[in-house]
Amino acid sequence: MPDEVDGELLRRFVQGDQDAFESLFRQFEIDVFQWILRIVRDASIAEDVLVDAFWRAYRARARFDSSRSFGAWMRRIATNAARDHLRSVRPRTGWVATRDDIVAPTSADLGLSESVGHAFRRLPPKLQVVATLALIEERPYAEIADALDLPVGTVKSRVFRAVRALRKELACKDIQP
Amino acid sequence: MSDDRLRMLLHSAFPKLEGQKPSHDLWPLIVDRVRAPTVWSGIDISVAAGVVAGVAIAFLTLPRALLLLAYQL
Repeated sequence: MPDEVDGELLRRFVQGDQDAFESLFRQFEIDVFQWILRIVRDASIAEDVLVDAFWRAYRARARFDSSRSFGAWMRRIATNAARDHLRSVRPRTGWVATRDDIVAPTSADLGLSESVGHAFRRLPPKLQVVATLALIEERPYAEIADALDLPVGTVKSRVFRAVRALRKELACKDIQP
Repeated sequence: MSDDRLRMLLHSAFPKLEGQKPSHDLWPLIVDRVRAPTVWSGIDISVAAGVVAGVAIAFLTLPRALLLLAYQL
């Protein structure tokens, strides 16, 4: 994320200046959007979550330490907003993702990858976020840890638990490719 | 299932999403959200009332426990 932000701009943001807030929004909008999109995997949902994330940032501006990275702070807020969205839509029972942007695999893995996708969406949101970023987006553990404000060890442990849960879910469906 | 196989299936189910941007300007939506008055739901009010009532009852029945709690905080 771009993070050469003028200290004066950050100070004005903390004081509630909406012009400063808009300037920060314009500067970080695309990066935050792409980060959220990585987690929620749907552009229109990512737009809603982005609005929610910047609103949360504005509401929490008094707690922002302007000597620290705005980009990292914003990414944490965006990650939490995306995770809250996953929590709100998490399937309880058989639920199939309806997504137009998935490129259909051409191999015999079609049904299998759908089952894997379905099982993945059933992971607890805190595991799903970490597993999406680590296994699908292949982001470095340190970056994920920073975005979630967690130790790297916890991120590794969540990835391990996500893979184990995914295997268990697939085994329940008798999927052994 | 090997890790590589699982990873491949995940990539197949969830292709990488690169270089996308919001479809329209989202700033007006954020301004609307920021300017919207805070609305307290019935649940918010009930929880707040419950907390106040709980603290009041605890203060009346267990004043020493509250002092201990205050000390710990």
